[in-house]
Formats: sequence, structure tokens, C-alpha cells
Amino acid sequence: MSPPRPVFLKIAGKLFTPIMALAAFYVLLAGGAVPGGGLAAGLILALAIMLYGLVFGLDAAREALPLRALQAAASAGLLFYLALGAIGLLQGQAFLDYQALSKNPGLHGQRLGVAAAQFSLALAVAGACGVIFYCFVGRAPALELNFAVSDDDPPTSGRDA
Amino acid sequence: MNPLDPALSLFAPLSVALIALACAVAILRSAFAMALSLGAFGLMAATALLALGAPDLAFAAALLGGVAALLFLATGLLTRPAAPIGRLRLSSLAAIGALGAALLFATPSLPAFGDRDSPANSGAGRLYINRSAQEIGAANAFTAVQAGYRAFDGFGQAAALFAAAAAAFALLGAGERGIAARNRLPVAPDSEEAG
Repeated sequence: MSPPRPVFLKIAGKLFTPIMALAAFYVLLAGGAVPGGGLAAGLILALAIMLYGLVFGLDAAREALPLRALQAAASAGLLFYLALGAIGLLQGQAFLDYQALSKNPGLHGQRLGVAAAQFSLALAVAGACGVIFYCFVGRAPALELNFAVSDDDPPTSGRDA
Repeated sequence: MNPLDPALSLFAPLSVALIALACAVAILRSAFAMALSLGAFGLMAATALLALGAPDLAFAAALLGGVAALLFLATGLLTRPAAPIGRLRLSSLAAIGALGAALLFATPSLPAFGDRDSPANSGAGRLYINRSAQEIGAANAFTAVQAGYRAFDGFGQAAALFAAAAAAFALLGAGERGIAARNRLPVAPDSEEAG
């Protein structure tokens, strides 16, 4: 069940979620030449997930992208990064030494390593931020926007009392 | 960096706006307004970084500010406060003032902006700038440093975020436990957790 939202918010959510997801991939792939990279790409993807969750509700977000997928992304990103470093280690070189990725003495290994590191960082950041968002929002009794958060609001039967 | 860069002249007004927004976050008493001001602060900080000629950092700062503001908005709007947000206390104001004074006191001993001979620019920094194109092959030197030379720090970044997500999941539980808790509770906005 989708929570009641203003129409413009729903349109913005429908419009921006796919554009942001696409922009994340652009930022990830273009990061070698222009500002951007793995961290920025992961954060854009996480923002797309958050926007969708805030507009259409946590249940809709969890249906589109289950929590388990985000947990898997966070874990896979970290493990992939670790494996990338272990390749150098197993060949008797330093941790995260990209020269071990390629027999070619040129820049091939370095380019591959930088791209793989960016990819795994993006995966880990998007997954971790998404999990944090799901956990925070999942605690609310109901996904209802509550704009009356001010001084005039008397404390309800206190959780801490 | 050319000290006569016109973008640099934007830095002073941007700093004033940053200070004003920080004060707004401290003074405002509504969670909604505070979260929005925090988001505006993040975007303003990104603009200031852009004026200083650091587009990569500006990108990351804008996105991090957006993530933080959205998380604050989500928690501020979806939950009810257990107690009204208290007034700004004089003791906390004094503590923040002392911290700010200490930072201002230390500022003159920092190297000048864009100083070629500062420790950061003359040591590893110059090495990275001069050699990253040949050694890593990325046109963006920032990417070469972040994912190449200092890839280990990137790994630490990913590990720290993973730890944060694991902690949030362990403490708050968005899994079946969270769904069961939500379904058990009445949907009325006044409902609070029992026990």
C-alpha cells in the first residue's frame, strides 16, 4: 500500500529514480576522466533508493529492491575489493598491487585495477547506505510523513519515560 | 592554482553563507527545518569546495550532504520525538565557541592556500600529480590517488561503511523482526512502542 503523497512528489520520484540510477553508472564509468568515481556513483545510487523509499513507501522499495539484495551488494563490494587486493598478495606482491592483474608490463593492469576498485567501492557504498536507510525507516510504526515536529508537539506517551 | 582565479573570490561570501546556515541548524527548533538547513549546508559546502578548485571533493560533499539530509528527513518525519527539541543551552554554545576559537587560533599556522612548497603539495602530492598519468593511466589524478595509490584507504572507507550498515542492521533490524514489529503495531501516528 502506497502512502498518501502529493502528486508532484510522486512524479518527481517516478522521474528522478531511473535518471539517478543511470547517472550513477555514468559517474562510475566516467570517473577516470572527469570528477566522479566509485564513492560518488554509490552515493547517487543510494540516493535514488532513498528517494523511491520516501515517496512510494518502504514496502514498495523493498518489493523493488529487497533488503537481501542490498545486503548482498554491500558484502559483495567489500569482498570483491578484498579479493582484488588478495590477487596481488597471492602473487608475492603488495596488497592491492594492480600490476599483478596483467602480464602486460604497461598500464593495462593499473587501469583494470582502478576500474575494479571503483566498481567494488560503488557496490559497497550503495548497498551499505541502502541498508542503513531501510533500517532507519523500518523502525517507524507507519510510513506517514509527520510534519508536526516542533516545540508545540507535546511528547507522546514516552518511549524513554 | 592561480590566486587571481575569479572563482576564488566567491569563497568569502560562500563562507559567510556556510556560517549562517550552521547557525540556522543550531537555532531552528523544527526537525524538518533543521534537516533542510543541513542539506543546504552540504550543497553550500560543495559550492565552496568548487570555488577552491576541488570538483571531486565538491561532488562527494554534495552527495554526502544529500544522503545525510535525506536520512535526517526520514527519521525526523517518520518518527515522533520522545521529547520536544530543547532550547540551545549556554554550556553547549560555550563549548562550540571554544572549539571554534581553537580552530581559528590554529588557522594562521597552516600553509597558504595553493602554496607549492607546503608539505601536502611538495611531498607525495607533487609526486602523484607528476607521475599518475604515466603510472596509473587515469586522466583524473584524483581517481588515480583514490583508487590507485591510496586504494587501501578506499578499502577502509568501504569497510567502515559496511560496519555502519551492519551496526544499524544489528541494532534496528530491518529484517523480518522490523516488519513483524510494524505489523503488530496500530497504524495510528500516536502509537508508540510498548515496552
